[in-house]
Amino acid sequence: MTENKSGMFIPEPSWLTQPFWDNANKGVLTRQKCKNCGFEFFPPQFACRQCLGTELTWVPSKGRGRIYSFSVLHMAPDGRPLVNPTILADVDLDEGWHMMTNIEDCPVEQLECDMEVSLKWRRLSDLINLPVFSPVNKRTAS
Amino acid sequence: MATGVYVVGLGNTQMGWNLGVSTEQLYLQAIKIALNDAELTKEDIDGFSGKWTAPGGTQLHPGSADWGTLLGQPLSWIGDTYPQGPPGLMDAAAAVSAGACNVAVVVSGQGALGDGLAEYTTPKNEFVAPYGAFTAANFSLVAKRYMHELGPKQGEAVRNDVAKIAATIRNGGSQNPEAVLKNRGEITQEMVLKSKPVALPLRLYDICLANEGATAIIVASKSVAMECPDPVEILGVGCEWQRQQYTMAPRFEENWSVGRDAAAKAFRTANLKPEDIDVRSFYDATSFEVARQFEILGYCGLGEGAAFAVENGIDAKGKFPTNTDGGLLSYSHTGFGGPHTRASYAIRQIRGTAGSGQVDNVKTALSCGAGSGAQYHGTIIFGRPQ
Repeated sequence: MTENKSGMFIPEPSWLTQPFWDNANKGVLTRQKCKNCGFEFFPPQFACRQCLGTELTWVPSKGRGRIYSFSVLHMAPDGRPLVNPTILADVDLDEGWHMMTNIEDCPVEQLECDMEVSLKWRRLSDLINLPVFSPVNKRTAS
Repeated sequence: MATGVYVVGLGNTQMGWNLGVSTEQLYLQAIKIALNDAELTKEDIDGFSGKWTAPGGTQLHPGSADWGTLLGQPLSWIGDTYPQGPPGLMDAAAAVSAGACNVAVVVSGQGALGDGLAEYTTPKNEFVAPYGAFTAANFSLVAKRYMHELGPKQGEAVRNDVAKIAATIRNGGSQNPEAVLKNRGEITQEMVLKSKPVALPLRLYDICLANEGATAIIVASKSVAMECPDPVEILGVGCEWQRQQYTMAPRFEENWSVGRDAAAKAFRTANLKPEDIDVRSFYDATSFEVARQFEILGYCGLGEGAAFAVENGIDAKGKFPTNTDGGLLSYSHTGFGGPHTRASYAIRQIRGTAGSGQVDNVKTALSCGAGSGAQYHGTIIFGRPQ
């Protein structure tokens, strides 16, 4: 893990997580699927936690989901106050898995649990493309 | 029933910042106080559990073996369980009851933080760290969904009640001359609700300290304990790990209940019910966690913990005294030693040596470690020797 100038951590992939970041670099969000029992999971592991099967594949996500929970961070991990707060969230993907992420392009006062969100990408480096989410356009709903 | 294993010695160093010594030097201070308290000597120690990261050791596992070198004598049991508190004391009690050792020192804490943050507050997992998550933010995710599940009206009521809980605990700390945040004057519910936003819904006064200090607890067999001046019995213990902490987002639906089964196990072994406990030493990593622990330990139902605490009272004169020393919020949180300082407070309440927060006539006390955001939790119950 390295830190860039803004103090944000940039992942350094391991043999376990390299496929996830390779896919992310191409703009594809993936989770693993067990060939033995069909269980899908995230974050990456070398075996399935449902059956301990080790034959695993990577399957792409449609990148649509809902905010299960969120926190408005006014402090960076290094203790610095944040002028523009970061929205930390746990997003439930429609395919039945969840991930920690950030919500972008959303005023804090509009944030709600169960709000619909879709995938976007934040490029951290030539190799690391970080999956984040933003609200599904509300204008289409009204 | 109980475990038949005793706490015979207790040592706490000064708690604070910039204490000027390393973690291991603080450990040694705490160990010396605990040995003196137990009226035991260095030569009596035959079991040891404590982290070693300092120069003078090898950095090899088990780190506790480096303490064998420092103590200058062989050990017949070493434990490397972190954090201490319920898990570390459980291991030592198991070692003593299995006859592996007679006198086990269990020590934890942290020193030399300098002006930097404690490293454990910013876990480096690659699916967590890039999003700006830190320990309190993880607890916040669970608290936010808890409020959402309860609905806007009750969620808001809980928010206000846990602010009252935080104020009560912090006022205990303000009056405790040993507390890191001693002499801070009266903290009100409103001050908590208006304190600096950190990881909303959590604000600064909802969130625990991260400071320096160490706690040593000496665990011994009954034959040793009966020769010591002030033994306290370990009546029951239970621990539960849902997964390694801070590797994925904690969730209300799974993690709010973490530690419930472990607490039930501790109560069963102790043959006690929640209402039999005279004093509680909860792991108040956040104000919401106090409410959570009232719920999962069986004092009340889901969503009722905050109101239960406020209505019954948790200060020294209340019906359910809890963290009257100031807890992790104001007394001390020494990192992986945090659960150990909480255990120390429960032991002191039974001995009648808890100082400003002492509750009258304490026969039983329980202590917890970790919480929902960390995805593991343990409970240990202490009592006066039968």
